[in-house]
Amino acid sequence: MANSNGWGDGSANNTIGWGQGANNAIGWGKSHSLSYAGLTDIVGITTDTNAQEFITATGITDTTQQRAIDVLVKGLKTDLLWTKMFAIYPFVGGTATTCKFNLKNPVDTDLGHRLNFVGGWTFSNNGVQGNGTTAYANTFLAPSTHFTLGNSSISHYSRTNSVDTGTPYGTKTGAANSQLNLSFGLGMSNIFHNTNSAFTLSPVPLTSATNLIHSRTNSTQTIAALNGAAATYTNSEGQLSNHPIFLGARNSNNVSIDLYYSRQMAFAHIGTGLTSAECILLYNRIQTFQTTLGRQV
Amino acid sequence: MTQVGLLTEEQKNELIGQQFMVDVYFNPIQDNNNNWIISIEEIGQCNNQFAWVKELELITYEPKKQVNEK
Repeated sequence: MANSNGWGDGSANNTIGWGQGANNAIGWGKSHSLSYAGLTDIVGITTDTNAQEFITATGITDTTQQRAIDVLVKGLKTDLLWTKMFAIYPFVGGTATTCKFNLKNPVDTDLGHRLNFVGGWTFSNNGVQGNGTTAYANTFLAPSTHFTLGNSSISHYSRTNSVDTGTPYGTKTGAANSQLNLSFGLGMSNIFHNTNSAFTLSPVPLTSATNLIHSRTNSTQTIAALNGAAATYTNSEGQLSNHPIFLGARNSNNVSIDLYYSRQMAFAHIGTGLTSAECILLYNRIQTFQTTLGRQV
Repeated sequence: MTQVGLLTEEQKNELIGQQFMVDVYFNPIQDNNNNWIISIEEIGQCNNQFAWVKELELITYEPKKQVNEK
């Protein structure tokens, strides 16, 4: 029987994957469960519950963006990375409202680690970009309440190749060995991961338009993965800041804000420690996500 | 040279904790001369009752000198 948009009833379990269309209003029917190709994935209808919660919270209606989020969440779950994340910021949708939500817990509260954007941000379908002068975002997530020594990770995806002495994320207490911040790109890098002893990426990055993940699975080494190329650096851990991590700048002892950052960011996460293999898996999921959205670097 | 909007102390107090667009808050900061300033992004995107910021005098931004971390 033909439905209102003329697709009609598909035949059940056919080989091209259109499946059995029900006589519903839009006529797409329950295709995913009965077809071979999984039509719901193709047309952008979300099938993961967590992805759908995020899409509902943000109000994202673009089907490509919906599908990218759905695939990202499923991929992180497949790779057993989902449960290692405290916060995931996909920066999709082009507005402060769509970009503020934490994919892991998309509620509009500080406890849900929804971002509070402050100062001069620019929002677009390519991500979020601070002005390097006044822009930061509070995650309301402090290392001391979520990390343990030897077990933490953080990442960001920069779309900008530029000179910038700021940090994409940061926090510290009055003690210098609690620093979580970095500067990198264009032939230099200094990465502080709960320490006052920075390490330098090798080889030195020649661009800052890249994904950088760094992680601790013990207190004597840090793993860093630049576009999925992971290496381990000897680097002792100090202490965990008890002040919330800011994106786009560093929260300096909850007294001041410094190291403002001006590159466009298209992804960030905060989580438990990841192994080198997990860093590579995460990068691959992030890059697939960015490619789907047409904003990969 | 980066341009910023110059605020009085009173204007700074009025903007703290307020949104200039949905889900984004003003962040008045002090420059190297202890002037209170906001960025041109905050001025340009302001679309609410604080639109008076669009009339602010623009000055060249001079960042505060940062103390090196050791």
